[in-house]
Amino acid sequence: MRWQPVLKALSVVLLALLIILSILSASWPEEDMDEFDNTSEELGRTLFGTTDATGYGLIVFFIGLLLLVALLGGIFLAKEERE
Amino acid sequence: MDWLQLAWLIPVFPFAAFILISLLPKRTLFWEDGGGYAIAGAGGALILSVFVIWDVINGRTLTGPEAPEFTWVLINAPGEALQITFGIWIDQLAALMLLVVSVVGTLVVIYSGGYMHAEGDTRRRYYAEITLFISVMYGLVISSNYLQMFIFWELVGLCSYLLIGFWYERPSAASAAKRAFIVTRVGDIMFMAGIIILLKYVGTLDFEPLFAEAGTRVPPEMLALSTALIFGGAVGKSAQFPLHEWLPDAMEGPTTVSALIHAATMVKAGVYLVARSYPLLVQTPESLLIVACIGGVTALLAATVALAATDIKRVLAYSTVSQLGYMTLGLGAGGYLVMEAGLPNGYNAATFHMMNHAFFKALLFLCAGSVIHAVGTNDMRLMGGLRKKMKITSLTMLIGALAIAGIPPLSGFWSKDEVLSAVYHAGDFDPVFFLLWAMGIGTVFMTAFYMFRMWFLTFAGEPRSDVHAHESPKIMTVPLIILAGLAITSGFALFIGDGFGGFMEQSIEDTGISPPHETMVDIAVNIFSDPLTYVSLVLALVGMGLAYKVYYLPGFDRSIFVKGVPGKLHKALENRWYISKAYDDFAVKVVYAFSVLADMFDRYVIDGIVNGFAYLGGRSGGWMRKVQDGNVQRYASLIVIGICLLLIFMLYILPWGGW
Amino acid sequence: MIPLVYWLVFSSLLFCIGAYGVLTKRNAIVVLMCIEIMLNAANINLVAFSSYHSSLHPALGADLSGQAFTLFSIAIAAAEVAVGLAIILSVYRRYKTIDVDQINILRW
Repeated sequence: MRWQPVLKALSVVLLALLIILSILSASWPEEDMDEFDNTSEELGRTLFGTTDATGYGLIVFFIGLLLLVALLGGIFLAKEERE
Repeated sequence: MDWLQLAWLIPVFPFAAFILISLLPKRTLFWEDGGGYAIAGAGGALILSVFVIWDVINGRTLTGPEAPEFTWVLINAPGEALQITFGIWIDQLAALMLLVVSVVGTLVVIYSGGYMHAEGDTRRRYYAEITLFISVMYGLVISSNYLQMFIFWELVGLCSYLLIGFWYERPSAASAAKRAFIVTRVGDIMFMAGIIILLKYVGTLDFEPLFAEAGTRVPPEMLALSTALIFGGAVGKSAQFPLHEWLPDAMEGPTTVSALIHAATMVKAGVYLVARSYPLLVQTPESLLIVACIGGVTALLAATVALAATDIKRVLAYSTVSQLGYMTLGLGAGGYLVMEAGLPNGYNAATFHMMNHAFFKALLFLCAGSVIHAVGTNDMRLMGGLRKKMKITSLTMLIGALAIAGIPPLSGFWSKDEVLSAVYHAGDFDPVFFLLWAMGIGTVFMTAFYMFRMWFLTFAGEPRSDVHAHESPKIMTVPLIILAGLAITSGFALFIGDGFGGFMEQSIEDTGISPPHETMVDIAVNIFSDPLTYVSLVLALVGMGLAYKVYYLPGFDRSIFVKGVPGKLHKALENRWYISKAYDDFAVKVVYAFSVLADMFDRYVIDGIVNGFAYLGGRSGGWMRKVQDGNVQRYASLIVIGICLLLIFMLYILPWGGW
Repeated sequence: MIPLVYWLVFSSLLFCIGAYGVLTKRNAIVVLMCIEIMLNAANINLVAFSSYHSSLHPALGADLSGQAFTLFSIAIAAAEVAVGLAIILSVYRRYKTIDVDQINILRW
């Protein structure tokens, strides 16, 4: 049973090699990263948009709601059974 | 009335009788459970045959295109056209066979009325099978191509099997029937191979076009091979060495069956085949040599075994084999004579002997049947002194024995001497024929000896045991008398009209013979002025005399035959030179070993594969099940491996395939 | 500055390390942490691609939607961890162990 981790390690290494191989064999354009003066501002603008209709604000709200529900569910599941 | 055009009706009469006997309800089978229909069928065929033969004697034959035909298979592909027709072919040779089959057949059926009287309900089967046999034998004789002949050949073999095994509850009879069929099958396969070779090269099996074109379209080695193979079929059917063992065993059937099938008709089919194939055979001297050698060896071999036989039918069976060997030898030698000197002597002699032998052998068998019917046993050692009680039988059998021994003026003398002189003259072309002639002469001596041994043991002297003997009813003795008359007179066919020779040689006209035209006086003078004639005559008389001394005159101590060196020889002869034993050993050891091998192969390899599939199917579930063992990390690792494989597939294998 | 390929290689290596942990570790909470690592590797991928957006799609210019999506991904990861830990707690109450090899009621 001790050789099983080795096999799994080998398969994972193989996976890594394959992914890297495919990344390297793709042709990427030669440009550089985007330059921003103030990334946070840009990010805020993207997230919430200049007006209400653009941006992802509504989605952020729903994600928060999901997080709330998940945590409530987790608390419920983790509660001890009462006698 | 053009009888030749109606010749196709000849097999129809006995076949109709067969159908009627088989299918009609029992009450309508008047007289001997079907015997009446059988005689009507055979008799009708006889009458029609007589008319046909009369036409042939007057010089008309029915060969080639004028014959009625019936196209069976027609394949019209260019270059591969195949046409197989059923037709009839009547020439002098066919007419001869028709005469033999019709006369002997009808007489045997009449005789069976008396012989099979005590058999009860099984008589119906007997008459059905006999009429079927007669009809297919006719069919064989009038066939116009090899395939049709082969079909009837096989049917004749089937009827022989049925009739040999008539008393099938007897294990010896059942096994004898099987043996006959299997041994002749070996010959049949060779026959089939031979005609397939001919078919491949010439494209047709009809006699007329085949004979005309075989010389040009078949390469010589292939022609020799195919004729030798066709002769192989004759070896099987006519019980020549090495396929001769079935005939003595075939005596398990009723004596009438032995008379009809194994003396007069079916075994002659092989000789008929060889004679019919003469236009092919005379182009291949190697095959002719094989034919002659096998004939000579068989004649000698069978005659030696007959010397020690104690069963009256066995003696006659071996005698048949021996005489068939004579005919084969005569045809082989005759082929040489035709080929080298344009003389049809051998052919004429062999076919003449065929006719004569049919008559006197059928006579001998029916006489033996009469004796067996009266006495109840086949064993000659228990007989003796029957001459006083069975006058007609003993007289007719004496005539038959004289005929076969070759004593003039009975028929056997004329034909035997012709055969022997033909063999001797063939020696001019190949010295081996002198050796074969010597074998033939030795056989003459032995034939006379064993035949008269048989007669003396059965009819002369004092009864050796108290068997009850009485003369047979008229229905049995009248055919005997008729056959005896034929045995005496058929020899004189040599002198009627153009002579037998002149008659028969027309059937092989196209093989390029130029026979000397002889008048009857010439023929007689030739025979009696030839010293060879006297050699064989003297030997026959010496044989008779020796049998007289050994078996009739008192005072000869026969026990010298069983002691010492003659004793070993006697034992060998009794066991038929151990040939039969050799075949059985071969079958048991070799074939059994082979079949064990086949069984093991079947059991381990084939069953192994099939069971292996089942094992795989059953076990694979067990193996597959281990994949899902509840270990979640194992599932995840399998997913990883799967992704790796997918990536490898997409990166390397798909581009390699051309994606 | 840093070529895109480096980011991608880095994120794939991180992913594989996480995968190794998921396959091998016996402690269920450690397996959960490794799942987090894998999620983070994916997040890095998203951010990297969004930073190079103007290079990959010259006609569209800069676009920070990828980074916004990454924020969502982090939030989802948090929710998933909460639920996962709650499940592990329930499982512990049933089996009295968090060794994944022991939590197995299938035979063989």
